Amino acid sequence: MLAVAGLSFSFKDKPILRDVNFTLEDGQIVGLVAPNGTGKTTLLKLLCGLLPAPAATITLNGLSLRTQRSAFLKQLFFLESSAHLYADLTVRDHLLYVKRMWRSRVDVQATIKQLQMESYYTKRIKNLSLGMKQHALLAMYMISDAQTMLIDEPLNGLDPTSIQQFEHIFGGLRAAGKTLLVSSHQMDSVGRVCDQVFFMKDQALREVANTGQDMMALYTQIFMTEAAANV
Amino acid sequence: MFDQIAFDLKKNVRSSTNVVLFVAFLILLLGSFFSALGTTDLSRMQLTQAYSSANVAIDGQIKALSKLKHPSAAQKATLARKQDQVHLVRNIVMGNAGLVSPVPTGSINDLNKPLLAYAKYNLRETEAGHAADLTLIRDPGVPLDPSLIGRKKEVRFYQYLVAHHIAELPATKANAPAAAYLPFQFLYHLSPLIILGLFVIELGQLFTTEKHDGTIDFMNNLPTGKLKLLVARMITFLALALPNFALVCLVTYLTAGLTFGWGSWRYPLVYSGDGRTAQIMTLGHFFALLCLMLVAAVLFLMMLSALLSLLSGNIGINVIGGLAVLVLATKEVLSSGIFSPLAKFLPVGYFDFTKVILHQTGWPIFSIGAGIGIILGWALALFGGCVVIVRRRQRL
Ligand SMILES: Nc1ncnc2c1ncn2[C@@H]1O[C@H](COP(=O)(O)OP(=O)(O)OP(=O)(O)O)[C@@H](O)[C@H]1O
Ligand SMILES: [Mg+2]
Repeated sequence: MLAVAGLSFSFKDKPILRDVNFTLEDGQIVGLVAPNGTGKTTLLKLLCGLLPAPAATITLNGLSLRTQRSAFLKQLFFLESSAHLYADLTVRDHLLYVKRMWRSRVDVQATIKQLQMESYYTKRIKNLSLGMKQHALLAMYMISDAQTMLIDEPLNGLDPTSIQQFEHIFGGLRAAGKTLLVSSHQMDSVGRVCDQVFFMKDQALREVANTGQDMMALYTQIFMTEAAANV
Repeated sequence: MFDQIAFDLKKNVRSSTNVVLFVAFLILLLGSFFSALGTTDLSRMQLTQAYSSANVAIDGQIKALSKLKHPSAAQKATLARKQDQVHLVRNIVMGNAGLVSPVPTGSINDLNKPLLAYAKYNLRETEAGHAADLTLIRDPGVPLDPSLIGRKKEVRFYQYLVAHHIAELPATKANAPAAAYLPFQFLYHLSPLIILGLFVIELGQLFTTEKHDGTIDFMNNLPTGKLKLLVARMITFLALALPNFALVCLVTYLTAGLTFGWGSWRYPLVYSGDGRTAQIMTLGHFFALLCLMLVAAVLFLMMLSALLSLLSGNIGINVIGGLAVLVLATKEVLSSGIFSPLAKFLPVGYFDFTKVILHQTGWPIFSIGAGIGIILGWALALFGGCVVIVRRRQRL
């Protein structure tokens, strides 16, 4: 369980979050939705300490981000985007390193097979397409076997088959008791996958349970009526 | 820790920086090798000229003094000394002539011995207060030192050459044999600060790329102490940069050796630790000390780069910070009024290794051992700074 209390943050003069509190229960997929530039990536970075939030209390399964950093991070995996992989290393280099650092028992070869990466897992990152890199990144999440996974726009650059494949894998991870916080702009996918959705607006999170409602309509209602009114 | 080092090495071993640095070091060290290939070595001739111009100068002085109608007592004494000198210098010229003739005759000591005799004479006369009447041989490429210790060094030097039957290697000899070629590069051609400057660039690159590429976020999210990651990065640097430089030295040594011959590491350099007595240091000893000091200075610069990389991911800031330190290490800054008394407590006071090892700095210093201690002490202090920042921030 990830518990967040009193989280506020701003970049210089741009406020991003104001006194945000929430918890993520185990075995859930939570969507994180907001227009570009609202602060989704910023929130994910705050949750793992890449950005400082000294006043907030952030604990993961009882471990404090501030005082038990390494143990906290052992329970978590977050890598902002596949653009942040090491260009000169192969997919396999990344996977083996994650496996060692997270002391995971997940089988690398099996994961490669599950994601159908056999043809390129020995290639260097710089020689891969965007979709291939997204697969490599997802494989790192899976191999880390971390209890909590913060995933930033994982569906970018994926073809429809791969989107289905990723959604299937997210479901599998949930079934294995993982907690996923997934930011996304694909509202249809959010509707299919997420148990809950955080809509980020006015430096706050609005929590909505997925009851099968039309997510796109909800998005329009939350974010676009105001914009339309301003036109 | 081992996992991180292995991963870090993998990340950086293929980096083109290694190759670029290798080539840059090699060009610096082989600079005079290539110029030696293109030209005939004139150093022996320059030395011959130095002997004969001393001879000619003394002859002229004798002529002028003999012409005097009513020489004073002092002028008579000078004339007598000049006649002693011309005798000694002619022996040098003759000994040299045998060696440089197309069909060499005689042994190396036929030149070394008259050189030693002249050096001893000059020392005696300097001690007797007649330094003004001396005509010293100007070794090409070496600044003339007219002081008493300069005379003592000369005596000590030729004593060693005589005792070991070694021929003098002119400082300007571009095609010096391998054992002398490398140390001579540092002694006469190449400031150690330039070598350190290249290390600064390599460090700046290695310690800032991850912040530049954004991969530092992955490092910061690893479930391990961040200090460990920083230390692993340091070990990676040392494991790449030092063997790289050693390889450059080896290639230089082999290149010079195969072309110009191997030479002897027992060739003497002469220095004075206390300013009163002259001592011998072999090229081998000199080069070993040089390497030790280089490693110490590189360690210091590495800590500086690591600390700067924590404060800013900008390679420009990192490199400029390192180069600024090297500017402080120049003799212009160190012998200036404000710095001079402080220099011996600062690492930069010891970065001009050649001068430090041979005690030729224009600013006061402690011993070589103490110098290495001071460099490493400051490196440790900078590492302490890294520890404090990483502990507090828990991020790189
Ligand atoms: N390092 C930074 N310094 C200053 N401002 C920043 C920095 N990073 C992000 N911002 C600002 O913070 C705001 C939120 O950025 P963030 O990347 O979190 O948005 P996002 O919701 O992830 O957007 P997107 O959907 O485009 O990924 C933006 O206005 C951005 O300009
Ligand atoms: Mg974003």
